Amino acid sequence: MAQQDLIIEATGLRKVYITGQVRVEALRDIDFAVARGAMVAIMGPSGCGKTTLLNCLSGLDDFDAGDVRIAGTSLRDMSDNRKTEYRARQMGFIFQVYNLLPVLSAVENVELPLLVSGVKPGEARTRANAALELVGLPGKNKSRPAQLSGGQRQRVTIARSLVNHPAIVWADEPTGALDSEAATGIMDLMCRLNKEQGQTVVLVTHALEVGQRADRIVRMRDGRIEDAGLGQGARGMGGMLSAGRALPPPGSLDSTHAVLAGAGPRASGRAPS
Amino acid sequence: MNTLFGAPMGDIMRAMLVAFMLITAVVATLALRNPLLVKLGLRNIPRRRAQTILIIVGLMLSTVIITSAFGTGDTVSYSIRSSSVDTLGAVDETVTNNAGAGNSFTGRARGGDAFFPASTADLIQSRLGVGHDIDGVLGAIVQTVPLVDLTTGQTKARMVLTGIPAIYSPGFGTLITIAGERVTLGQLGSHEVYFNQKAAAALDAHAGDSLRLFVGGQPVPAVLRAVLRSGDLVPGGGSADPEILVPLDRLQALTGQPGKVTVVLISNRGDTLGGAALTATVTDQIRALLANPAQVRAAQAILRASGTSAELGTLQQSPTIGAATKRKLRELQAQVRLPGQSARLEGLLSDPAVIVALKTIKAPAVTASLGDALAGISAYSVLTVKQDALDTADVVGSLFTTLFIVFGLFTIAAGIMLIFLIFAMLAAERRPEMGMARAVGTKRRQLIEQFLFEGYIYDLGAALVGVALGIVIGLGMVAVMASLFGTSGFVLQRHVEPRSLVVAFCLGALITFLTVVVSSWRVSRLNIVAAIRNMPEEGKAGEGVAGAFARPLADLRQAGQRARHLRLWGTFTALLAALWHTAGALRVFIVRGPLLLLLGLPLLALGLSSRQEFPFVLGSSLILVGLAMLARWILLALHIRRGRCDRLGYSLAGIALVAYWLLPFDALQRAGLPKMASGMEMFFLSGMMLVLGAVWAVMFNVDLLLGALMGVAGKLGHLGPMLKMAVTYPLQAKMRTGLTLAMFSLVIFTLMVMSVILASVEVALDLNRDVGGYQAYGTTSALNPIRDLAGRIRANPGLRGRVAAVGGIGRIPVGLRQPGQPGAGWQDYRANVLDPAYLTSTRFALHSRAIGFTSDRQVWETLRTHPGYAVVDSSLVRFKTSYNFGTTSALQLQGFYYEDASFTPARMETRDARTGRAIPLTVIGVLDQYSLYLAGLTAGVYTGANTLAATHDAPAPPDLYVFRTASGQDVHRTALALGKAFLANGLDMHETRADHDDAQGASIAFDNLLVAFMGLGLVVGIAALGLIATRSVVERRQQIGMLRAIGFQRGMVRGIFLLESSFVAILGTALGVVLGLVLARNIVIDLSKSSPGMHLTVPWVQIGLIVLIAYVATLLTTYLPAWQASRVYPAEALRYE
Repeated sequence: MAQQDLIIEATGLRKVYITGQVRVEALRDIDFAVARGAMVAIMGPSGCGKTTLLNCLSGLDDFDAGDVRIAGTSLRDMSDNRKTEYRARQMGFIFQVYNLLPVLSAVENVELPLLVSGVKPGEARTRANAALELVGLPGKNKSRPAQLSGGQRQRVTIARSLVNHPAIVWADEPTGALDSEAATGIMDLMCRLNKEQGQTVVLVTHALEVGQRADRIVRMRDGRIEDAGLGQGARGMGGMLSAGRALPPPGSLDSTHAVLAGAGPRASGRAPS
Repeated sequence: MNTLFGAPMGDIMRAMLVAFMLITAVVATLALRNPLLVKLGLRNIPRRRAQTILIIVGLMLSTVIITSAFGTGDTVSYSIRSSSVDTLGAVDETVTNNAGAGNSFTGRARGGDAFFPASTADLIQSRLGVGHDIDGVLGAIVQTVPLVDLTTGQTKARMVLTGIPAIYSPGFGTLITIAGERVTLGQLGSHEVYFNQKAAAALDAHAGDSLRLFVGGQPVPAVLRAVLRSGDLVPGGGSADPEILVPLDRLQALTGQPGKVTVVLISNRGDTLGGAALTATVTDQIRALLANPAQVRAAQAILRASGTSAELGTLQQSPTIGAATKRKLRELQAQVRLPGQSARLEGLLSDPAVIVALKTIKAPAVTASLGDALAGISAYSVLTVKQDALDTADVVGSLFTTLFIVFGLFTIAAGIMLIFLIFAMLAAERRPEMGMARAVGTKRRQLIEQFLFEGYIYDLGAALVGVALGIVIGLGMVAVMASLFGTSGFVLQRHVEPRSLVVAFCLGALITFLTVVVSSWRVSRLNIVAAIRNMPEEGKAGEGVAGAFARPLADLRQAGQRARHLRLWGTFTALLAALWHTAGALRVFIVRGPLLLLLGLPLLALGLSSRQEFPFVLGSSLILVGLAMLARWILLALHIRRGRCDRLGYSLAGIALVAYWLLPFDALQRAGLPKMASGMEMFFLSGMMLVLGAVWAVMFNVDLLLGALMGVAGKLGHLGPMLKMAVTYPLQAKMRTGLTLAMFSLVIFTLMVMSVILASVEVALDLNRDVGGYQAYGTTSALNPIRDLAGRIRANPGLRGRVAAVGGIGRIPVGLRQPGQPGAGWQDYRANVLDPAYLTSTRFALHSRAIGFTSDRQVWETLRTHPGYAVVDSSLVRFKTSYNFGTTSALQLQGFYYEDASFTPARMETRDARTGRAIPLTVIGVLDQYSLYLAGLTAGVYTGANTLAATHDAPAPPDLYVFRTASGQDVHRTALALGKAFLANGLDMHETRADHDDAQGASIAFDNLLVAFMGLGLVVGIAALGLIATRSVVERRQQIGMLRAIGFQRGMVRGIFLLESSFVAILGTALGVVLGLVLARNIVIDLSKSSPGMHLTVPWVQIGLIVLIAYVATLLTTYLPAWQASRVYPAEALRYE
């Protein structure tokens, strides 16, 4: 497996929570890697450290030992501001509780990451509308989250996570708050987008039917990876290896070229290395 | 302080305590019935300590304002009482003859200047002194004299020289030197005198010093034997005069008045303070004793006559006569019918309050004869000096408290809004919990109770902390005031009555509790589903009229059913519920307009009929809002989108209110409406209405403005999304933002109005307009006038060439009335009898002249050449508009207004209090009101000395001299030279400009203190923003995490919160500044009609400072929560629930 094919690499990752007198080792020497364009599900019982792993990998949380490299760049050495900037340009997030801003309309929620990245308001609005269309929510642009169903809200979240054309989408229990029909719809959408847009997707779930839609399932228990899932999953080894494309360094805008503005992800100008 | 707003403090305290006990009892009963709810309510208090502290701070503001107002009033009241007691010592009443009657409790007026037989004191002593309520009577001479301490070289132009019998009643206590030695006047050698401590301090004098006194202009050598400690007969305290004590017989010899005194001092049984309780009884007894039986009989006969008796009855219904005097009049009515003349009748007919009331009897047949009889009843005035001083202390203390409470009303109003806000926030925090509780069967009433229990504890805590902080702030204000009084000799002694603290605590707690009740009721109205899911409350479709009345109708049906089953109690409770729910249902007619119109119209009519502006403008405002709401209702009925209807309705209401309240003050009169009476309450009402209107208009339209702003800001990189987040939240939480905006703008508004008005009234001294063009003046005793002042100045080489003009004024006490004025009684005032030198040299610029006079010079010349003409100061003239908080002169001349440029000469009558002679006067000029800055110099009715001569009245030798310095001469040096040259006459020199600056400086400093006090309200606005920011960080923790996840950097998150607070602070400040400036401009324009010297002055620096302080304080308060928000770890926040 060539080093440059991996978009996410974690080595010896440790994370300890101390709550009062209680010390909880949330992550214990985790080694983990994901190839570009893969869809990987992290599964395990409640409290096993799935979300913590996702947070540490995505730079939402700090870790105590080890390292995380995203497209070869170490998060350990990154300042908070650079990490934030990196997230804004290279990552998208989907959460169980949607985390939409209730005071903004659907389209305003979706365009927010673009505005933060410095995209002009007019262009941001066009791209946000396109994203909403992509996730199957045309005509709901001006609706407030409170006026949407759970499934629709999650679609808005997905649109927001993709609008900036990120290299990686992190999803924490994306179907956790949905009924099975809506959950299936969301997973169909995510799989479709993963295929079409080529984003790497790392999702955390405790639902087997969701995990099974991924290329690979990583199983965790007590802060450790029990099964790296290299031999299973509907899409076999796809999660581990890919065509060997490398992510550009942080700050480069090449990778954020507007997927949703028309060009397909695989024609986004990111040259395979 | 014993009264507030006219009600006795004791009664206020009892009422407050009862009300507080009542709510405590209600809360306790509810708590006993529902201990679980108590537990649920109270568990929140220790859970979030920081929040609890913040809530208590927010809730305590009303109590702080009330307590500090009381603290100030109590201190002033106590200080005056204490000063009076120190000055008067054991003296409770004084008896003077009418010619020399003064009305002050200090110094010269303690005894007046007119001599009468010392046997009067013996008479009182022999008839009332044994076994009665009096424990001391002594006749004394009190005079003002100049003095030189030859040892220290110090001089003092005005010292009080008091002659007291060497042996006097023990009730007056003893004389003790500062060394602690007990002494008597009998021990003094033939030239020896005693000083009080004030005199010793003024002259830096010590025992053994050689002195030279000037009695009647003649030098008298003396030696200081000892300095006496203050107390009993020796006046001390801040306002006491420097005093010299000598034996009475020596002073009688020096003045050439053997066997005579100028005053009889009376000490009542009891200590210095307790004796005052017997004042009414003692005064009555003395008055009866000194009454002239023949005149009493004559007055009795007149009052017994049927016509007058009926008038006496009518008098008792007069609204202008106080309750105490009415009681006396009732008693008098009974007494005059009895045969003979009882002592009580004699006492009543000698009582000044009764005499003043009787003189208002309008029966033409008896007015003159009754007046004569009353005037002759007694040659003496019995002055209740101690009681008067204590009453004054109470009145002034009460005035201070009232003033600070009225000006604090804005802060109290803002504080009430803050309480609403706090409870709205608490409710927002607990919505899911409350929704769940409602879902599992908790009634709304129980939710309210839960909040009430919690609120009651906060309330108690806040009231306690508020009282403590209020004391601190009150004492701070006292310290500032003490520095203002620094040069006047009046010492402020910090004092807070426990009774005031009880009232402040209860009042603060009650205001807060009532607000908590209303807030709890409001927050309990939640949508259960939305609350459980913690989603925003959906825009309510609006309760229909039918829907609103469904509940009371159901209650009525239930009552009917119960009645059919003869369940009387059940029927009764159902009817009560129907009544309660009907009242609640009426709110649909408030938001739709009709009820507002229904309330507004009668208020409007009431205002018009009673000529009161308050109900009129309140009614008009309700009608304006009602019409706007009605328009909104009609649009809703036409199925126009709710958002548009709201925007239109509230914008209309807001703009109409702002436009109406910013109309020029004379707009209504120009429209043909009558002039209506108004007072300070209008300032409060205008502030509330303007802010309400502006906040409505802004809150329902600011999105348009921000849309445009965003268009621009969107191009500014990161600022665009930050700004979007910063304004979106406040716009969504309309109530929260609206309340904060209202608080902020209300406080800034009041500060603006006050600052502009104060800056505009600050007018520099205009010598001609304010004092007649004299740069210096000096006072002396009328007993020791300077003969041929101008000649002596010319003859004095040290003065020659220094003084260009002089004038003499004889100030005499007079009664004033205007013939034909209803209820025209004599009002005490001062006449300034001008000598020809004054009338020739004066340059007094008049504010207005009578028709026919073409120049001010012509007016003064008329006074010089024609007797019977007068010029009056502005306090005797009616104003079309009045912003005076206190009172003006009791007599207001009818027939013209101060604002009139010219007027028909007005007739008035004066009566010389010294001789009782009535003198008719024609008023042909009015002084400018700014001349009253130096009221001691300028107040009075001005007439020529020839007026007294023409009516064969006693002459009034000058006791006030005015000087115009020659060109190029230094005023200060000239004043010093004059004082030195006429020391023997006790000429006490003052410089006009210095006195004016002192008077105005103290007034401005006090006004600034008021502004600072009102600025306390800023704390409310800033606390509100801090509270909102803190709450927002907690509320939006997850959202902050999400923002951080999608790329908002820490600085941006911090910026969002700072911008959010800035948005409200800047908008509130802008509203407050604009509204305040426009209203202040209207006020100044209105004031300038009566004060041409006044013009709009905007103190931009001060305003800039206020705005800057408000904004910086806001940023500082918000910075901590904003910083906390920026420190939120995204992963942690996203996990947070």
